[in-house]
Amino acid sequence: MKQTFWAKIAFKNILENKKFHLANLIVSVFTITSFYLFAFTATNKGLAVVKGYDSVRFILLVACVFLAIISFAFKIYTNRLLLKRRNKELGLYAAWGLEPKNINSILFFETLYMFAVYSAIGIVLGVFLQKYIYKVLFSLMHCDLKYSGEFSATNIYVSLIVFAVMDIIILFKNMISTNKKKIIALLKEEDAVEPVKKLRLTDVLKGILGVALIVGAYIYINRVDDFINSIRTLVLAIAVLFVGSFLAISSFVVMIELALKKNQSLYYKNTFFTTLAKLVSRTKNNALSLSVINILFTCVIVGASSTIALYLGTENQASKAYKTDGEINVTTEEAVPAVIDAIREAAKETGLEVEEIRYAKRYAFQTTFDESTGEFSNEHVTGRNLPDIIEMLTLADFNENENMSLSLNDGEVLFISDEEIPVESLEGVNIYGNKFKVAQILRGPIFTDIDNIQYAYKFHVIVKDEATLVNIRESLVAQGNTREFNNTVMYNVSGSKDEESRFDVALSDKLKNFGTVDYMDSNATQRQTRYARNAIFLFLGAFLSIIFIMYMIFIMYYKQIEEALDDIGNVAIMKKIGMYKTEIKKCIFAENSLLFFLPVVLAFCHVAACFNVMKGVMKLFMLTDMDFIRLCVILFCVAIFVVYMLMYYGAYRVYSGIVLKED
Amino acid sequence: MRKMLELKDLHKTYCTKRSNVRYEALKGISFDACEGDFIAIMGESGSGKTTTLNIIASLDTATSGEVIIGGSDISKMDNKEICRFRREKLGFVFQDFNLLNYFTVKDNIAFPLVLLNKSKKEINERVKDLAEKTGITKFLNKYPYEISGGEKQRTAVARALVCKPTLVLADEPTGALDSKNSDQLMDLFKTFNDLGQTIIMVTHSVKSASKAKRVLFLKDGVIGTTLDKNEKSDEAFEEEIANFLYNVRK
Repeated sequence: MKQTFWAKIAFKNILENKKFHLANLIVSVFTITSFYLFAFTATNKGLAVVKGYDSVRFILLVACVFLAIISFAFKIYTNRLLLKRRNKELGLYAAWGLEPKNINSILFFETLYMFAVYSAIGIVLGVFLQKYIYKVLFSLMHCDLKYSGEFSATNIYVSLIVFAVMDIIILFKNMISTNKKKIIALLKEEDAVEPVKKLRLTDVLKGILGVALIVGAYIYINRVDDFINSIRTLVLAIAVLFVGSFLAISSFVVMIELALKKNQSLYYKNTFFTTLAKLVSRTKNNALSLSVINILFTCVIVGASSTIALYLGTENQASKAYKTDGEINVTTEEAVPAVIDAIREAAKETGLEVEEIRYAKRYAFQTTFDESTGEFSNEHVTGRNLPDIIEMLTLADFNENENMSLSLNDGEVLFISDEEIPVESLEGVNIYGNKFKVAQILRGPIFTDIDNIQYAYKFHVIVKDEATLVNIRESLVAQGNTREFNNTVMYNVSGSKDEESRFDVALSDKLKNFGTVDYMDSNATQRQTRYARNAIFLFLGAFLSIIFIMYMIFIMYYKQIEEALDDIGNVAIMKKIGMYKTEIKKCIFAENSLLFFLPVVLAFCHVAACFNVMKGVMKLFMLTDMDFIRLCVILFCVAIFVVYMLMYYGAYRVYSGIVLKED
Repeated sequence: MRKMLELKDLHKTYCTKRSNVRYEALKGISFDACEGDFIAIMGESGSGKTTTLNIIASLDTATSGEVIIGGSDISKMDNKEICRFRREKLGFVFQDFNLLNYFTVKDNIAFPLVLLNKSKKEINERVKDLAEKTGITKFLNKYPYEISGGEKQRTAVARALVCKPTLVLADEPTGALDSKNSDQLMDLFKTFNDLGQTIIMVTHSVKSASKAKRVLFLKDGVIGTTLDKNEKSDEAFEEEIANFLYNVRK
């Protein structure tokens, strides 16, 4: 028979099953649009003006790969749901005498139509949106727009190929699994009533294991303080958390429901009766879908709230990265006056006034510190996750920059360390053989630290005068440490943030020919870099969250249709026996609510337990205002919960609409 | 004897939605059933017997006519009253059992009592009593998919009787059963009928109908003939019904 015949049947099939295909189509359109926009943004030449372009581009490319992987995983999952519902139809084709190759042709054309429709709409939508997305992104980055609007066929090809490959793999999988099954198995698969499972010993063990895994993962996550070195085990712990959730939902929750069922006084109450009895089966049979909703919900809360917090916190964090507006590190003291001149000239050129210029001589290098003996050396390896850095300053510089008036005697030092290092009882320090008495212990950060970046544990030793500093350096040079002094010039200029950015550009232009300038950094630079990076995170977080929410809607909508179709017969029996419509509605509402709010409650528990990790990751991205992060997470939880309730209500209406249709 | 059911000039006309084609399924059915009656309704497919039963069961409404059960005219009741009436006064036994698969046998039987908010003690007592009478005590904790067709139908009978209904309605109760289970089920009906339970049953089976006290033959939406069992034995009545059907077909 001609292929056009099978093509027509495939077309009719899609129309017949539009209820199931439509939701899938919408999700697929948005996914390919997102993929195209990620690829377009990453490869657009206009992005090159952004500070930190390389890292931003890298993040976007990683996001493309991530999106492709999760899309594939969800396509497999949703295909499984759709195919299960269609097995009877495919079985009927086989029973009518269609050969496997004919059924394969139908499946092929169905896949082709779906791919053609969603990819065409998705790409056209992407091309239409690209300019606006770019504008929004650059506005979020606080950057001047450098939109390069050329039509990039490569991005379109890449998007089409990636999604075509996914669909082809799934098509082959469907063909193989359909051809392998016997006709009778295909015909009966949809009708097979999922039996009410009695819990076996293995289920009980699985339930206990699930709870144990969740609790274990929570404990581990809250004990980790070295996020960089523990990243692999953290990812593993999060995977364990989700496996635990699946086991807990599929077995432990069912155990609770069965226990409630055994309480006859409760069970033989009108609403509880049908609700509890059905819940046992529905929880067990929907455990995978509920776990997926749980994962998606947790990811949306964590991903979206942290990227929102990161972005909204950018201004506050960047503006106080340095205590002054900026600093320049010079390798020789002789070059300091020229640098100060350059600062004044740049200010003059940009119409600003230099409010303050400070100077400090710093002597810093990596070391290891033994807090029990007060010894700095290269011999003891500490258990700390970040490197130790010692920075020595003179008392005069310290007093001037910290507005203090402390004094020291010969052989005395001030010792300053991070809060978490236990040095309260330290009486003396030994800096590579140079011993000093600790006159006073203070806690950081001090003016030389970037206040919201912790890339090392810093130990500051304030010595009496420059001569002491020089003596220490000479002693260390003799031991092979040739580290030079850093001469840091710090400045404050008057003006708005934009004016400061212009000043920054002018100053960096002037300093670029200074061979003695080690580095220059400022709050204005920090602001631009952080805005660029955090805007990209927000952009990705928003898109991925929308995709995840769409998948949640799809799963809920699909499961509600599937279960409602299975439940029509049960509801008809209930009506025949004399159950009121309001009673039936109440049962359906209670049952669906308990079922679909279970993964949400569990997700909130996960988020609360993982807050420590979120805080740690935020710290790595220089957001240290924990109250602000907490507020963002709570507000987002409330917002997403409202969205979920609306989604749930929609899905519930679909369910009750199907089962109570004849009324 | 007290009248349990009165059907007065029942008409039912179906009308297709799009083409407005009208089909008259019932053309004036009238009959009474007294307390302790056991009536079988027989007839060809499309004669109107299931429609009649559905109207008595308040699962469908008549186009015109009256259905009075235990003195209450169900055609004048609103939806809520009908539901209450159904759960309190009627018991159903269907061909395909209509058991809920997520309930155990015990829960299936208890379901109507739970709807009536009966106490745990009363539920347990009634279920135990009915399970003993229907011979399914050992299956009480099993699920419908774990028991045979005969056992399922006995469960359905127990459920139908658990609320001590005014009337039990059975639609082809032996339709999905083998001959042995059919006999057992009809014996069960007979036992309950002997205890005073009023039963109205739609059936195609001559043997099943022979257990009833009266057989109504429907043809084209009207009651054609009525056969009374009186003092006849089951076998004699079965023969009479069979002969009647043979003559009609001839």
